[in-house]
Amino acid sequence: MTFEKLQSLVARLTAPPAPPLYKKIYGVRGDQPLQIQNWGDWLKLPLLDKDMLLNIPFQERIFASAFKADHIRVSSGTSGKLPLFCPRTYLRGMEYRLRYHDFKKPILAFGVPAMPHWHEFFQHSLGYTPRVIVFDPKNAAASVRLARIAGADSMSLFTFHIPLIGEYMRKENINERIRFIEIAGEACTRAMFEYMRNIFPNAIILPFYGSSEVEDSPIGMPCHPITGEKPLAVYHAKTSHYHELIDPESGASIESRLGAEGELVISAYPGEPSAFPLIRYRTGDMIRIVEENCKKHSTWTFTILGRVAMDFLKIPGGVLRADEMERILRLFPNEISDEFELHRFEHTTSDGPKIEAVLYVRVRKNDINLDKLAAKIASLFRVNPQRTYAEGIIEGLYLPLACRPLNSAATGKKHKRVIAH
Amino acid sequence: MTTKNELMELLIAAENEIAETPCRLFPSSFNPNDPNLTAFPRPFDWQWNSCERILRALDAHSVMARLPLFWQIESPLNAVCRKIGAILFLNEPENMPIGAAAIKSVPIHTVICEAEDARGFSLYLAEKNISPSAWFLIHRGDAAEWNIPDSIDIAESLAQEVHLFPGMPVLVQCASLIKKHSALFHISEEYAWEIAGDKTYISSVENIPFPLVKFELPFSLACREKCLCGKIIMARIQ
Repeated sequence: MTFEKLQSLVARLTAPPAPPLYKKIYGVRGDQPLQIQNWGDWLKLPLLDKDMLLNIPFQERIFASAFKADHIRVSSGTSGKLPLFCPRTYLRGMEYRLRYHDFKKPILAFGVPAMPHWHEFFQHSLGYTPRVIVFDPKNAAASVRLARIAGADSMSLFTFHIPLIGEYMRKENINERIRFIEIAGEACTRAMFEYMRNIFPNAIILPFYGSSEVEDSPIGMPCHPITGEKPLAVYHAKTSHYHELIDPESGASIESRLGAEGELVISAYPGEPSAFPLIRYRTGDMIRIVEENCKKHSTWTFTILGRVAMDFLKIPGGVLRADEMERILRLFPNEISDEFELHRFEHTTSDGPKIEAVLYVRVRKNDINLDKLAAKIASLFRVNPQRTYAEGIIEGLYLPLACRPLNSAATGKKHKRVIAH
Repeated sequence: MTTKNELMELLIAAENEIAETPCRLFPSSFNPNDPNLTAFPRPFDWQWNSCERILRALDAHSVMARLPLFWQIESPLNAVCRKIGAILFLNEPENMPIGAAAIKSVPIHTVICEAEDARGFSLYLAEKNISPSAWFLIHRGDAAEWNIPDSIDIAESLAQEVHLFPGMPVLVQCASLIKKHSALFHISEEYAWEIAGDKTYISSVENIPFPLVKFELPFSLACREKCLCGKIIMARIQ
C-alpha cells in the first residue's frame, strides 16, 4: 500500500460511518477524520496488538454488516490468553495460487487457511464446478475416502495434518494423484518437507502465512513454492498491505534492510466489504528480511523465525504450554522444583515426522528415576482440553517425553521456558 | 422399494462415476468408521431450505455450528447464513470452552448441533451460567430415540430436524412446530411419502443425480393433524 492509500485508510476509519474503534485508540474527537501528513505522523499512530483487541467487545470490532461479514474466526488461544473472536469477510488476492495449480478438480480443504465455501467460490470464479471435500481431522480416514471418490487432486490444510492425511491417502492409493498442497499454521520444517516430497511426489507445496486476526489474509504471499531450498518459505506483502518491522521490546521502527530481524507489523485493508481493517497491528511474529527488493515483486521479502512471546509451542493436535508444565511440576515438590526448560524437536520416523518433547528439570534428589517421572508427567500434561501428551503418544502423534537434569539444558536461557528446534 | 443395503450397494457401484458428475457429496453414514462408508451425491445447487426457514423463524443473527466437519455441511450452511444476514462461527464439538466463550462474547444467538452433543454442551453451559437464545438440533435418522435434552431450558427457542444421512434433512419443522418444543415434524418437501402399516417410504420428487425411489425409512411415522402451515404433522412411532 502507498502512503496515499494509508492516509485515506486512516481518514476513512476515524470518521463516520466507521465504528469509533480507531477514533478511541487515537484519541480523535468530533466527526473530523484524522489526517496524517507524512511518514512521521504514520509512525506516531499507536500500535495495535491482541491484548488491545481482547479489551474491545466483538460488536465494536465489526466494520461490516452481517450480510457482508462472511464468518468468524477464533485465535487458537494457545498462548493462554482468552480466545479472540475476529469477524472476516471473504478472502481476496489469492490469484497467485493459479500459477501453481488449475483447481479444476475437487480440493480437500480444512477450515484453515480458507473456509471450505471459499474454495467453492474460488473454483466457481474460474468457471469450474465447485467441489470441495471438507477435511475433518477427527475423522481423517472418512474425509480421505470422500476425497478419493470425489477425485480430489489438491489439498489445503494445517501443516500438522499432513502426516495424518499422508498415511490415509497412501492406503486409498491417491497420494500420487495430489498435485497441489497448501499448508498453513506452523512453519514447514525440513523433515516435514521431505516427508511430503516422499508421500506426494507430484505435488507443488505452497506455504500460506495467515492469522485469525488478519481478515485480509494471507499476511504474506509466498514468493515461490517450498522446494527444499532454504529458507523454505519466503513471503512478500500483498498490494492491499503495508508491512513494517519493529523491535518487539521497544516498539521502535527497524529499517527493512537485508538480514534485518524484528516483529512484523501489518496494515491491511482488502477493500469493501471489510469486517476489520487493520492499522499497524503487531502480528507477534518475528521475521527476517531475505531480500530488500525482490526482482519479481519489487518489495522486500521475509521468512518467519517464530513467535515473539514463546511461552507455548504448537504441536500436532495441541500445544506445549509453559504455564501448564509449571502446574504439573508443582505436583512433585519433593522431587523437582518448578524451574524447567521444555524443548521441542522434530524427528523423521518411518511414520513421518514426529514431535519429541524433552523436559529439563531441577531435581531435588539424586535418586530420582527420570524415566518414570517423564512418564508420569506425560500422563498429566494436557496439550489440549481433550488430550494429554501421553494420550498423544498412544495415538502415534508424539515420541515419548524425555526428562533430563536442567544443568544439561541446551540453551541455559532462563527467560525462555519453551524452545523449538 | 429400496432398502438401505440396496442403496449402499448402488452408491458404491456409482463411485467411479461420481468424480465426473457435477454434484455435491455427502457421507453415506453418520458413522465415519463405517467400513462401507461412501459418498452420497446430491444436486450441486442443493440449498438447505429447511435450515433457512428455521433460522428465520428463530430470528437468528449469529449462528454457531457444532456439527462434525465430515458431514460436509459447511458450505450449504454458510450460504443460508449469507442469505439471512447471520454471521457464522464453526466450533469443534470437542471444544466446549471456545463454544461457551463465543456464546458469551460475540454473542452467539443460535447453536446448531446434534441432539446428543446438545445434551453435554447445554450442561456445560449451565455450569457457567451461559445460554444461547436458541438451539437447532439435528437428530440422526438411525438413532433409537429423538429426545430433547432436559438440560435445554424451556425458555430457549428450540428447533429440530431429522437427517436420514448427514446433510440430508428428511423431517423438518415449520415456525408453528418450533413453538411446540416437541419432536413433531413435517416430511421435507423434497420427498413424496407413503405409509404402509408400520413402514414409511419416501421418494425424491425432483430429477436429481441419485434420487431415492420408495426408500424405506429406518423409523416409523404416524400422521397427526394438519398444521397451521397446511402440512401434515408427523410423529415417530416408537
